[in-house]
Amino acid sequence: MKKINKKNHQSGQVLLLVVMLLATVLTISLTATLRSTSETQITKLEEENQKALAAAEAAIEKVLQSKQGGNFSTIGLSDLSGIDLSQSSVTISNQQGNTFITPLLKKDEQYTFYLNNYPDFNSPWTGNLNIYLKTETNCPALELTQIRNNNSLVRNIIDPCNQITNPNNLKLLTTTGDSLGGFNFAYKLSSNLSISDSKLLIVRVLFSPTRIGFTSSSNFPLQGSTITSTAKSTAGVVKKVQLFQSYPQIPADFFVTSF
Amino acid sequence: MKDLLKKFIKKNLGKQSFFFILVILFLALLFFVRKNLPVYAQTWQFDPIGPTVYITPVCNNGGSFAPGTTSECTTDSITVNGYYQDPQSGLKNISLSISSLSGCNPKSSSFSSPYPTTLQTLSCIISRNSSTYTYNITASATDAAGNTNTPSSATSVSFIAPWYQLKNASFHKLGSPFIDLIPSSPKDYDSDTGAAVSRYLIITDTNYEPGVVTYQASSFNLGGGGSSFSLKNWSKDSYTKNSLLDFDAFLNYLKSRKSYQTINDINNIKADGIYFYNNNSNNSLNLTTVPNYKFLLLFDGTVTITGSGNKFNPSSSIAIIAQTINFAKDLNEASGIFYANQINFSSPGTSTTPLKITGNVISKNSATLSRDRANDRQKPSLFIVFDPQKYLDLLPYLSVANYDWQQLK
Repeated sequence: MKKINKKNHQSGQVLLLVVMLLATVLTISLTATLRSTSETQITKLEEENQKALAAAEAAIEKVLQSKQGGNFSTIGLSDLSGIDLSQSSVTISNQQGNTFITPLLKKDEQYTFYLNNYPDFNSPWTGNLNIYLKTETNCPALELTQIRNNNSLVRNIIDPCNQITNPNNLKLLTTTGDSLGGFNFAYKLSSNLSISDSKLLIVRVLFSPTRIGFTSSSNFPLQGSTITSTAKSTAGVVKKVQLFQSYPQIPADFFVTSF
Repeated sequence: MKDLLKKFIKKNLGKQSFFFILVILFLALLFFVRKNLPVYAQTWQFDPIGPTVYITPVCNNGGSFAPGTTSECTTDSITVNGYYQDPQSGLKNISLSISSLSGCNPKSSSFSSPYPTTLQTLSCIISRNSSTYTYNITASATDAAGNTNTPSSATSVSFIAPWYQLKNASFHKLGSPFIDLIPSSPKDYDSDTGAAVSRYLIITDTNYEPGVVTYQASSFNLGGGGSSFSLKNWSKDSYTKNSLLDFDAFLNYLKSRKSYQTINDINNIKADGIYFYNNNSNNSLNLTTVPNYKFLLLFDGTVTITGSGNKFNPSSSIAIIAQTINFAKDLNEASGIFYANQINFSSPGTSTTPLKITGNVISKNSATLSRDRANDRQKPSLFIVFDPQKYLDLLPYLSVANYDWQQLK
């Protein structure tokens, strides 16, 4: 009798164990399934992001060549799969302003700043220009070459640390700079440069990489084009990319007589 | 006996005779001294004045010395005459020495007694060579009394070295040393020189201003005596210029960002634009004339600017970018923007023809002048006129663009 009771008691334990095991397996399976679904969704979203970003960049590349904006179909990108072509477009805008900040220019690089409309050069800008300088390492120095409408050349140097031998003491004086366009500049001109009847101001960086800021009370001529591309995937992911393309820049390597 | 001698002297020789004997003895002593002591000791009290020495350089072959702080000969040889004279004790040694010149013969002469008191000369001929242009001359003479003299002032003579001049430019001089010997009295290259001739490396037109001169060397030599870099005289020594864009880098940029055409004949240029010349057969290209379009020509090899009638003056603005650009040795005018890893201003060999380049010249590596304007060295042998109009005409081609990307969403 005792034996029979013991057997029955043992069968109940096995059942309990089986139930618990099944519950555990079920929990693990459900968790794994849920995670897999979530990861799949994230991966899909990432794919959509990449697809939309790539489409937006491709549209900018296309417009860089054609110089024509519009929706993706009209600019020749009708074969992009997974992109909602009717909701994707590129615009070319010309934004003028009275502040312009260059990229960080390497030593011996130069920036061509337009003082007249390009390419006709028939609408010269007149105003008072201030120039800001900022380096990441050593002290900056700039050579300014102003090409006037009659092609004569006005040259100046900005050299706050006296790195250029300047026996005749002919240079533009600087003072402590301040914030401009989101950058803190170490130096700026003490007095504005009066500009008129000019085409270009070519600023060459000497000694150390420098970011240059130009500012005035009136809007500058256009310095380039801003291309804005918006791409929307069929899943609804939207990516927006903007590119500023400067007008032609004369490289310093081709500009300074050297041998 | 002693008494007898005293009586004899007292009787036969008076006090006057005694003094006469003393004089005889003194003269005998003097004769002895002159014959037996060293020269300088024998005569110093008789010839305290040193010899006369002076030098007269003569510019040969009809040339002349240009006025200035340093005598500059315009032709190919200089005769240096040294003149020496000592009318008192005579000359014992004379010498004429020219530094940096070993072949000057005679350099010195020595004389023995009787020492010459007439005018003596020593002459040397300095022939022009391509490395030394200035010579310091020293001369000296020693007379028989031991006095030595040199000319009252140091004498230096120079040939005018071949030199180059820029106009309206900024300039970086590669390599070391940085030498451009501007003559004391420079002349205009031609009527285009414009502003008054001055001893500037960079001259300017009216209303034009010169740029900064940077140079790789730690020092410079522009000939001294009032020469300078420019009116503003901005300069920087020991400057290493970064080369950010060479032939290969620019070609890669063009391929990815600009449209260009590949041609195998220069006459296939039919419109303004960028052209890549590829003739597949060799890596040299001679240019005599080019079509009348604004263009940028790239060639992965050596371009030789030969010109027509020794002139290469395209009607429109052009730029040539190549691995090497040679200016033919007889070429005397070229117009354009010339960029190469290596520029040769005369090829093959050196040239006596002056060269004027209007536009610009940029060599990635140091280039030598290799021209010597033999018929008028007061004018530059190489004259480079920076022309901004060419850059404006070629803006769409000879340029890059800056890009600033932003992801807004």
